[in-house]
Amino acid sequence: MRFRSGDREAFSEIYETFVDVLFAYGRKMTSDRELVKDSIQDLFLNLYKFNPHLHQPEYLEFYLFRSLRNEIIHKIKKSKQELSLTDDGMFLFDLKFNVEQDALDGDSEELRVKALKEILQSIDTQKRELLFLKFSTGLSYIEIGQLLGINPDTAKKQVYRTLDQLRDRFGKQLLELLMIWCKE
Amino acid sequence: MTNSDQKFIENPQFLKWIFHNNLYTEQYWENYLLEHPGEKDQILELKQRLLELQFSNDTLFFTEKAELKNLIGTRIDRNLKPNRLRFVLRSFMRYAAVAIVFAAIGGLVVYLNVGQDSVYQQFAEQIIQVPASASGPVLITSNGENVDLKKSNSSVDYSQNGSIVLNSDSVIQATADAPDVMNQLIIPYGNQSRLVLSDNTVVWLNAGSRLVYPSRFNDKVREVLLFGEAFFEVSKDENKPFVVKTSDLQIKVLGTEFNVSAYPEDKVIQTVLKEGSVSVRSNHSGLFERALILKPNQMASFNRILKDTKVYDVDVSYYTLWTKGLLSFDEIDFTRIVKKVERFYNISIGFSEPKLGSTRISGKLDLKQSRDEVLEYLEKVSLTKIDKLNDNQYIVNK
Repeated sequence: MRFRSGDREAFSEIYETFVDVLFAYGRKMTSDRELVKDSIQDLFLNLYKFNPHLHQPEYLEFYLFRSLRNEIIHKIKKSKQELSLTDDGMFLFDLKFNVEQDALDGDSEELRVKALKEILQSIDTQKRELLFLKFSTGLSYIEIGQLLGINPDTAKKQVYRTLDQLRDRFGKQLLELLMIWCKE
Repeated sequence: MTNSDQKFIENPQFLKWIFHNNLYTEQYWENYLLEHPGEKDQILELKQRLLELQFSNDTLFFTEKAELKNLIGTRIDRNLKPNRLRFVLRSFMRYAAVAIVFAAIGGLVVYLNVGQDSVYQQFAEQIIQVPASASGPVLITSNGENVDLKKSNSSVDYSQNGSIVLNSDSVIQATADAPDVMNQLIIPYGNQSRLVLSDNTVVWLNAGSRLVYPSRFNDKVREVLLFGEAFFEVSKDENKPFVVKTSDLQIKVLGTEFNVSAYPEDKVIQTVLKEGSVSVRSNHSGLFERALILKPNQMASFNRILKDTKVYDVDVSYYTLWTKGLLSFDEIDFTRIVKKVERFYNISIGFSEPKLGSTRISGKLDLKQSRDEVLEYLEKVSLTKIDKLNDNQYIVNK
């Protein structure tokens, strides 16, 4: 990867590729936009500084998500905003499906939205984060497991269980196909 | 769900496109849609349906994203001077090694390539600070003087020997430069400029662009460096080719009219030919690779991620209308149009839901109208509501 020679252009490519999903991820951990932006800044600065140690570019995405997660937790703790963390030191992972904003369209739609909301509220924050990472990033179960400190098999099982709950609402076939995709 | 829907869902590239899109997959599907127009409706419908499964995410505003990037750039430059020197040395050594290997075959060619790369790199890495007080484009003359052009629609003319005419009224004395001493014209967002070079070539520079050029060309070749978008009307000189260098491509012509869009933040570099002929060559192409020759009404679209070029037949007027302050679009992603409007008015437009940005819209914008009128028109063609958050931030709502 050209990036390892310190090429500014490749670095900028990495920024453009990942900044949106990193920001979206960070914003689910905290409502403080500035804190997320600062964390992204530090993250990229460190990436540039220490990139010679990043010998395996295939782990780049994992590195970015892990660093951002650590950086945000660190900053939240430092700024004594611990209120935004739950009792066991976890953050609230504020995950919403896009459809929730469509709630105004008709009755059946409304019911479906309500059901979806219930599902997302019924699962714990870790599972919400898990779903986000599975669908919005290219991380593997092994990497997701490492990030959340859980066994990769558990991660996979939990994704399946949540999808099971979603199955009724989104039609059987579509969900089955999604599950095939989640196997990898 | 039909069988052919399954075909797409089983394609891992398709789910990637919806759930964790990146430049590569975006380009993949853009090309796919262009090559399979018959499947377009089905694909877009399926995408819309699957988008419902996407989470609702907060997004950075366009200006926030650029600001953040600049901050990172500045901090890297400030903190890492010693380290950077090491990088430069290391990459120099790498080129040197390559040069030695090739010396026996054609030392001169390799030497020239190294030289060209580094000149571009040198300008690309400069962090351009457009002074906040500047009300319009900024001209940096060869002696390092910064001239504020003050008008958002300005002109700079080098065709009068020895002097530079600004906005057709004021004149500054050009230093008696040797050939190839570089000047720069920097066009902030919300501005445009018309530049006449010393050989009478006319260049229109679009918002958010930068052109590096000499006040006087040398005897063999006319070379300029472009960051952003420009339309060129190159004056004919069979003996001195005109070369536009961009991050990944160089475009060579003898005398013709063409548009180049090479914004650093865009994933594609587009060259559209209006008249005559141009040759397009990748900076990374091998010694034996042929340059691509474009015919009028063709566009070469170079993908910076895949490093490949595709040629399409296009309606040139769509790509050159911006020089007249117009923007026309036919079945284009709403986000693309929004990006152009953001650059033109120097504003940020966010989306409350990402899927709003993926609707395809058609229409024509007159950017000479007021910002409010243009946004109102956009609301109509996209069936959305664009709400004002503050002076220069807007959000698209359903």
